Amino acid sequence: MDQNTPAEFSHGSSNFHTYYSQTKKGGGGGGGVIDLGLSLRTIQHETYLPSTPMIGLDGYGELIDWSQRSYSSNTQLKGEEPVDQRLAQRYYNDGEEGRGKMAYYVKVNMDGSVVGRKVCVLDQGTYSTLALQLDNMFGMQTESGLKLFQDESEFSLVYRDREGLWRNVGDVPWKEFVASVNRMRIARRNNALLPY
Amino acid sequence: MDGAPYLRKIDLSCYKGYSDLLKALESMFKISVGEYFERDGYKGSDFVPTYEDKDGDWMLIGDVPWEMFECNCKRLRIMKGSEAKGLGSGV
Repeated sequence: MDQNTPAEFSHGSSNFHTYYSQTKKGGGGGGGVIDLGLSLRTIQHETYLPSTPMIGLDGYGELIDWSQRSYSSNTQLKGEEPVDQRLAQRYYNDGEEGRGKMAYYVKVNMDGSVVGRKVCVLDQGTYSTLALQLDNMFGMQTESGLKLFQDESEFSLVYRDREGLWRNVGDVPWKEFVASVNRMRIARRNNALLPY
Repeated sequence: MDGAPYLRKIDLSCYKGYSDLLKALESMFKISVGEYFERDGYKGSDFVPTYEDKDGDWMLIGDVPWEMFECNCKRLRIMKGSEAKGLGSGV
């Protein structure tokens, strides 16, 4: 039923007529828009629950009008950043210790190994410490250690960024890597496949 | 557990943390999994406790905070050393 069709309401009961005119007035500066809170941004559900029970239409005036809402530092979105759900997940509860950190636990798998490990990239300060940690975790499965980032290494370390692309670890500054890494893989270099 | 005749079912919410869970598994299967080190995993045993997460990947138990593990864990599997270290004919 299309509630915006005046013709239907003129035939309906006076209750419907009242409903329509109330929404026309709009609540909270929304200009007649009823926000059902279905946007991806409505992760913090407590922000749109009306403080009074929604009997009739009186409650609609208290719904948040997202177009005009200014985001406090508590919310996961800041300024005009585009809505990236994965990014939002990272920032969510960034202020609380532990919760925000969970997003920085990244899976690491190694070619030929059945069991993966998880590494918290926030705990590592640099690529060197990351290489050391990974060598500790996976090195015993090799003859002479991983030797990541070294020319003579038979392994290369790659990562998947938030766009789903696989990249070489070490190409970008550390902070940028931490912000975008989604998953890592220790790949065994196959000399037979290298063109040089 | 690899080699066991049948599967068991447990409720993760019954356990307060990893040591609680591992003790229960050791008791259930009459094994020892050794001690967990962040560096090199479980030392002192041939058995490796792993879990399957929501993505279907098999990960070592103990790397992430307990609450995160509880949310992501779908299945547990106690692997025998050789396969867990990737030396088996494996998956």
